[in-house]
Amino acid sequence: MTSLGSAKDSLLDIRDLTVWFDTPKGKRLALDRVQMTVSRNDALAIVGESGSGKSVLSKAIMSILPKNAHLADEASIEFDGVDMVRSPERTLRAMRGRRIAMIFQDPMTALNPTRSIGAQLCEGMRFHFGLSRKNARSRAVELLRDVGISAPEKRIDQFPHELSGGMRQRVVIAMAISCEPELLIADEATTALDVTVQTEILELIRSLRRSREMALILITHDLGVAANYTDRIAVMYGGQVLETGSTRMIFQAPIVPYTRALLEAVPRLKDEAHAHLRTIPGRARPFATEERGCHFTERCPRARETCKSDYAAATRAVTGQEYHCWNPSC
Amino acid sequence: MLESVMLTSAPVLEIRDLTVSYTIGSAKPFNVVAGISLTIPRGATLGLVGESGCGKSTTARAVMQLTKWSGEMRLEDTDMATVSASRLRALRPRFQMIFQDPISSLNPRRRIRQIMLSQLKVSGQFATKKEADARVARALEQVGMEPATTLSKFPHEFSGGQCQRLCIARAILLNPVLLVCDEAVSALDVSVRAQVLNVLNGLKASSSLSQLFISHDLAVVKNVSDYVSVMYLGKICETGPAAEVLSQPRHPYTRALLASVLEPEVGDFEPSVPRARGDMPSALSPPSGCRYRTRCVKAQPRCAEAQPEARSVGGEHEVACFFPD
Repeated sequence: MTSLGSAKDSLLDIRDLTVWFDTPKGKRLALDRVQMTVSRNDALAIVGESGSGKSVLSKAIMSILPKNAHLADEASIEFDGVDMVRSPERTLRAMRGRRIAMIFQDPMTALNPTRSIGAQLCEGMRFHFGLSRKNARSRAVELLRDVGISAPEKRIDQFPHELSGGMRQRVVIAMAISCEPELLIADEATTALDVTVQTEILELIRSLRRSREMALILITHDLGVAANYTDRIAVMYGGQVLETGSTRMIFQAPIVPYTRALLEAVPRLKDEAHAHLRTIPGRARPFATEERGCHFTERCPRARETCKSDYAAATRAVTGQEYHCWNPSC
Repeated sequence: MLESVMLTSAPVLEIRDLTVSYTIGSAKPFNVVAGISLTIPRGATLGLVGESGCGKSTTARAVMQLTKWSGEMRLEDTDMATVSASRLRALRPRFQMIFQDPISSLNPRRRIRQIMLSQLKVSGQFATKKEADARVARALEQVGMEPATTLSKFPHEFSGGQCQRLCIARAILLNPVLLVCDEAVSALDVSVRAQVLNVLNGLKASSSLSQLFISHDLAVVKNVSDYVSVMYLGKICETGPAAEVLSQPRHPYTRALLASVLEPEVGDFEPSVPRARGDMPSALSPPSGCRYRTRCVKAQPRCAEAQPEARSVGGEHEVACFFPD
């Protein structure tokens, strides 16, 4: 497979990542030949509908896939030279939370309800940096201030249930950045929040990313979030990355028919009322049973015979996108 | 066309000063919906928007007569405050509801044919098998589903969007005048959400079905609504024709909501527009005066003293604010 995307200063390099799940009904394909590169300071959105493999990909990066997941032999995930697939658990543990941090959709389940937020905030710093209780606590207060929590000296002894949803997500973000990670993965981190709070959290993530020079992978189904808060977008469907490119070009000149259809299916505020929206026929069938061609084939208006059996090699468009398609829209 | 229909017939739903109270434990009751007024003209769709906890769904439950409420409510010619239990039962087919999760709304062990026919049987509208089959087929066609390939299948054989269309088919089977949609497309993926929105818009055009469309997504509301009401902590802040409210918002909260919408366009988002501060207070102890004042960028001492009443700012556009923009 070609590796058009790999740059010299890449932080994360994913090659030929194929993930199978063992299920009672047999093997199911969750990720299919995924190629992805994230460089330092990059802000990449992974966009896709449910079942597209976004979350499996983020778990694979963190090496926290469930036990029934199996990676193909040729799969490789390298984070700054560290092999995230074959390294021993001890090495991986030193990476997780320290160099790669992750925030999830529901802040209430990410926090332990029986422990104060201070205790949870200090845990990572004490584990990775060996800080004393006192030093960790004073740093925790600083972190809470950094993520915009007022009266952090008081808040630090509160429990998760005493905070609002937006506040809890701020605490989770403070935990994620406590060990100064080089890569932050936000998996639908603002999906459960109200719109007014969502923008506050996204603004916070953006400013922290800039001030701390973190790379960001933003996993989302919301094209509006991707458009406004990332520099690059990878579009996933059925476990495959169909198109990767600059955010501007993905929105202005989508190449793969799926990306185009997705953009036309979204209602926009500036559209006329009762505007007819484009629909995509058929339904997504997550988890194929075998590695074949493009998984969008059966719903694709431009599908050809080859699409069923062969997955197109990565091609670079003049507009800069890297795509996998035999019959692109333009 | 819409205008003439509205002028000649009474509204399908008219609500005045609707209040819904809940009691938690032994504490004194608090108002989840604190005196709201809504009107849905015949054939029109009213979008009800607001953040979680503002009382949108409670309003829907009150309209569906699934919770106790006080105030005035008229559904067509019927005064819902004084309606008898038997009359209400006979009226239920007139107002139908679809929910957020279409898959849990369909019995997984029944075929679509059984699901549809039981709707007719329960409401006493099952005359002959032939007639019932024809009605089911017509309803399925209205939502864009092929009866021949649909009827013998089970719900799990359909996508979320198709299941939601089946729920709509089941609802319109009884020829309702009002369809209440509570976050009906929120759980759907982009590609199938469009199918459901197109069906709802199609029903509006082909039959005079009125809709109460509840959503937190303003772009979705814009797509289906003729009128929009913005709700905050149990009160209506702003109401009026959809195009006007969404393009020239007058209430600071509506402005904050619109400023938070992330359009799927590059370089459109303008983060300098004043937005809401902090989080919504608890409905258990709402702020005095205007309920939005604790988050409002324009709040003045007066806002804490008195509750602003809804006033017209031109035509049907009404705003409940002392200092509208």
